[in-house]
Amino acid sequence: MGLVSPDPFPWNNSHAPLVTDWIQIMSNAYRLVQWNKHKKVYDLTLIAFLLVYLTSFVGIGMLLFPSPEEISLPILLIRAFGTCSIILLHVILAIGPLARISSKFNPLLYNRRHLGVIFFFVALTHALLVFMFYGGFGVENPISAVLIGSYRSGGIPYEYFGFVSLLIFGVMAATSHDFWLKNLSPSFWKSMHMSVYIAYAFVIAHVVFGVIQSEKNLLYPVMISSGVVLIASLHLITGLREFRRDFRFKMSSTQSPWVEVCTVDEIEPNRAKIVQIDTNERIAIFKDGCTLSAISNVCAHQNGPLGEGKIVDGCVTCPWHGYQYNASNGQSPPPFTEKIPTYEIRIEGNRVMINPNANEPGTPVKPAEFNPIFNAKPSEYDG
Amino acid sequence: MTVAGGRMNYISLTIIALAIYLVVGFLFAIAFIAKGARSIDEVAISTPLSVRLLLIPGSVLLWPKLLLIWVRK
Repeated sequence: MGLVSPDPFPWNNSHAPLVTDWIQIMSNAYRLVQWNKHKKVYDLTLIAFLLVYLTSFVGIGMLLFPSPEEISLPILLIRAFGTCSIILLHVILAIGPLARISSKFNPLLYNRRHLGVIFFFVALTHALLVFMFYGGFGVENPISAVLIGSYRSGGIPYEYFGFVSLLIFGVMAATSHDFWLKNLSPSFWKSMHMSVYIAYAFVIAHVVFGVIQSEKNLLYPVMISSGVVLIASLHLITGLREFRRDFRFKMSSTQSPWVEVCTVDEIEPNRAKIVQIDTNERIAIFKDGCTLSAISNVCAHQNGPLGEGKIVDGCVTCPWHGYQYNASNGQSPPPFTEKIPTYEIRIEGNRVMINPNANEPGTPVKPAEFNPIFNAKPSEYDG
Repeated sequence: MTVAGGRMNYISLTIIALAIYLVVGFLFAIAFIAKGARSIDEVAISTPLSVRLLLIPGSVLLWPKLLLIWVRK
């Protein structure tokens, strides 16, 4: 399925894919990878980083510890892949909140799936090296040998934390294709992939207990605690910003379901205002020409914040991956099949009224029309 | 048997159970990419084999969930 718009991403144009590079983003046929120039640059940059990091780590390690009795090459490799995977994991976890703080980070978010899969293979390489180095070539299978060996040693079996986190990351990497998103249902898929935070906690336990037992150098504890503080701070800042930014409204105590949420001139042209009524799902009210439409703020693809996107060629466009919807019916333009809930909307004078009871996904709703002369900022319609 | 010895048995049993789960999952995955994927998702009918092979790891890991979806279809 082709893109409806030649430029659906509200990113800085220097980061956006070129028009000539457009390939399918929303799809009515599965592909191995939906390559475009942006993704190729993203992946090549990532691979270059991996090569530079791994070779630098091993090279510097061999220079600092030339004797194999101090640190052997397999151990250097284990540490190189281990630290590299932890850095990638922190980048992955930081991208989400950074993109909420500034849209400049949206290009990083766009291809986060590839970053996640590459991260898994780096972590898997770390684990395979550990299993082969410490448990390989024995009577016992390498996994049992390492896990049982950690019990025999009498210390805290930190390998278990790493093993469980690797299993979680494995499930996430194996289900990263859009086929899984569609067939496991977006809500199940999203919940499953939110387990990255559980896996992150296991990774931290793996590193902390491992370092406590085997390292005297303060570098690793300082690095890992800085990472935890960074990730926690970014999520806290983003949560507070959203909490402050949200416009919350109470349902009317009368029989009327209509709730006044804003005035027409508060909404920028081709943009949305996001409101939340009681504890219901957030609603995005879009201004398209001289009409307003209200749809769910949650994209059917990966729960992206539609209200932070904009209208491109008549379609609401998700800022995360470019999925598009018609604001008046919550449906992706044919032949796409994605649907999101819509809401009844009307304008009284300059006041925008919403019925917070969501319609079934894809239900057409007549947009509310307004008079640009009376209802909008004069600057919007100058000339 | 000591506590440590008992734990070691649990570890071995867990790993064996995990291995059985994955072997069953692999057998299921072969059937799933041959037929199941196309019967639960019509978009997958026109999907080339190379893409369906990409579904093997997910099918191996999530085979009970997929079996339920397939049976309900």
